[in-house]
Amino acid sequence: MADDVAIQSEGIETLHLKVLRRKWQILALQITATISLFSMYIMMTRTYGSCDIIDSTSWCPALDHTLTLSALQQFLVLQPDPLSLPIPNWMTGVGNSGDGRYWMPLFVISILVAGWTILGLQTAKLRRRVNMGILGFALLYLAGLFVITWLIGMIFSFDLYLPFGQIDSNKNHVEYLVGPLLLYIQVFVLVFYFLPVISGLLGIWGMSKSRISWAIGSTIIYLGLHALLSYEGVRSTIELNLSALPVQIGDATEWGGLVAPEIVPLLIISLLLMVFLESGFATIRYVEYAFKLPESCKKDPEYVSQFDNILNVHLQQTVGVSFFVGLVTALALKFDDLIVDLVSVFEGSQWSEQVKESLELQLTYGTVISAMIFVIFIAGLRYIIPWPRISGLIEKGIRQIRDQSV
Amino acid sequence: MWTRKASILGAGGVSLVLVGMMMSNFQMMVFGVAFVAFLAVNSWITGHGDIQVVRTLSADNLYKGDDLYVELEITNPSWRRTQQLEIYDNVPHEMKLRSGLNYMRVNLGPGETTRVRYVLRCPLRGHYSIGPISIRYRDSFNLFSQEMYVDHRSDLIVFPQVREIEEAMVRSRTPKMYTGATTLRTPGPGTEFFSLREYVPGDPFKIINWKAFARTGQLIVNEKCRDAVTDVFILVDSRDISRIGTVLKNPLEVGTVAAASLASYFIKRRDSVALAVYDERLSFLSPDTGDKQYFKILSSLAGVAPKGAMPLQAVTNALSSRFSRGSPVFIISALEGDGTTIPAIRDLAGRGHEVIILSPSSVDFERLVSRIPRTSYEVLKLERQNRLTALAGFGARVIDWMPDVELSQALLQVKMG
Repeated sequence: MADDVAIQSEGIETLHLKVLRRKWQILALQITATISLFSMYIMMTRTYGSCDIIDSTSWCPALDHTLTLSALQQFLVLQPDPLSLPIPNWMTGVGNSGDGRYWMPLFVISILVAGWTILGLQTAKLRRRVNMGILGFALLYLAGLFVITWLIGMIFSFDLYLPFGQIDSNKNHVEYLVGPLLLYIQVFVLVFYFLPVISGLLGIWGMSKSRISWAIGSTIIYLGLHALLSYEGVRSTIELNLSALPVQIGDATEWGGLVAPEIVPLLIISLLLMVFLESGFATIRYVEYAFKLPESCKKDPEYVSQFDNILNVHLQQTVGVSFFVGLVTALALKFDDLIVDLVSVFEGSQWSEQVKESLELQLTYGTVISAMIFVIFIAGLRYIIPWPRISGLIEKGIRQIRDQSV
Repeated sequence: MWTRKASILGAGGVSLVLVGMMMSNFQMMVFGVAFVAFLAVNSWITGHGDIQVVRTLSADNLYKGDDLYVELEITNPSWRRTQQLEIYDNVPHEMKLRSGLNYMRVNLGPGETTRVRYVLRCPLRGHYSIGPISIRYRDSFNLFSQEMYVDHRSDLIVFPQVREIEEAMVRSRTPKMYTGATTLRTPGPGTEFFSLREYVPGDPFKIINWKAFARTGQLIVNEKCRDAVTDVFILVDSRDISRIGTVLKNPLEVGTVAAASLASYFIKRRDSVALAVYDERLSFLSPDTGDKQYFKILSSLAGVAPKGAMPLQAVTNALSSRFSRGSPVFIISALEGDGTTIPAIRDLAGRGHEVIILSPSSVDFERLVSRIPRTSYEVLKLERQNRLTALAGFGARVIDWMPDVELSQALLQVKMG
């Protein structure tokens, strides 16, 4: 019996953190999450990033940082002593149109996050030094010139004075704060608008669940705010110039006549949100599991092979499930048409007319209730069609064919 | 079962649909329907826990402190993928993982097999059972999970350690206490023929002399010569009071090690060894020799636990008819909390038994876990010394066994004394 029990063996491939960071499945999950995050943000800006009246002077709470930065710039230009924002427009995307407004900030954010991630791999001592250096520089940049000039001014004039409200403009040292403060305000505006991307990227590459949650949370808050501010009741009270989504769903002309054009971006945003959420969290969950394994298990080929299995299946299911969720949602929103068609078979009866009338009204309860009924029907299909068995059968067949070819 | 994530997603989806309907905001409705659709699609691919598990152990019986190698072979016999399956082999908390892990996350395809291997250290004697296997399966997106057990258990016995004491017995200045194995001209368990006698009900069939039966028509059995010098009786005190000390170092633990070592020593010499364990009741193993008896003694010692308060005199009275004349009796006891110790040992010595008392010093064991004031300690030690001296006065050989003294060294005291 004792001979039957083998000790753990050691394979070439291991589950050490350094190896995991370069593992293609982990990288694929991280890249999937990153791409879906970027795509989601761009899609959101296309959907929620426009105002009703677009000209150089108008501002609205749309998801477009250039509107706020332009408004700020105009305010500064109109001052008696004109000022300008320190970060150049080519870097913030101000002045560009369409998606061009976001590419450069997204690129800069990606570079900064990459740097931050690389820093996270360094020793704690180096990390602390860099963090302290950045903080020190930020403080020095903010108040350094102001404090130095003020002190020197007091020393040379042999007088104690406040650095503002002086008749002699050379003694108003507080003006040295304006430049740095403008930079920080500009950075704050950018961080506010790009919070889902910054937080999401830090979460994906820095392996932080809380940051991914922040990304999701901020996205939902933006969507909620837009929905609230574009709500008819609010729009009629406060004029915000926010471009609201059309109230009525048009004809289904997209995806082979399956969905209306107004629905496509929303559907894609929700799908990308789910892909980002699942890929981002999954990466952390799997790496965490592998990290916690004892040394002997990290080298055990059985653990490595099963870890690969888990990752491969996750990747396959991410693709499959995303496709089916999109399809099911699209079909669900189209389901009312099917019911109308079915009901029209009984044309002439009072009941069929009533049903048809209520369902034909777009954006009524009919569309959504029928969609929910369809989704419940799809969920119930698992009791009729054995999906896992079918997929298992296909998998087994593929494996047999592969084995035969080898 | 829905996970928290699925519940939040479901509730969020339905809420978005409802709020969207109230606000006539179709973006909310689309998000809500998409969330619910995500749940619906994922419900197709929930996993299963219909797996076959085979556990192999490196040994069914092992000694305290030994390593146990465990291998779990997990097979998915079904046509479905298990999805994410967490496998946790329940290990007794007394055992420590030395290498590997009794937990694994797998995703087994149809017919696929994997193995979990780990090594356990068994620092405490006892009867143990490894298993059942806890299983939790869930889908890749952690929306639905289910927990279950595979009721597969493997029993094993961890024997007390057996110390080498032969050297200690040999290296004495006095002649050997017992002369070693020679056949006695008395009937009993053995190998050499002794005599024929008539069959009496209860005799095993295997000792019937069939040739004699064929010749005489009467059932006749073969009797064998007894293969032992003497019967050695070992009495182990397993009363509740013997738990004093730490889990690994207490009078009962060291007592079981001593009993196992003595049994091993005498059985190797082909003597017959009897074991009596007394706690709330008396368990007695009749004298016998051989590997089977050795296994019985170790198994019995593996299972002893401190409980009850049976007095020693009740034990000696109960066993008086079973004690062989003049046989040595080893008493392994801390000699605490029992007022009958002195009369019991006086009776045994009076009946001509060689009584050897191996007494773990409970006062010193207690010092391992609690601080005893110096004066109290001195008083307790003095009381103990008086008790031991009184017992020695009745002809018993007494060994005061300190916690940090090896068994072989402690046993030397009896030879020197």
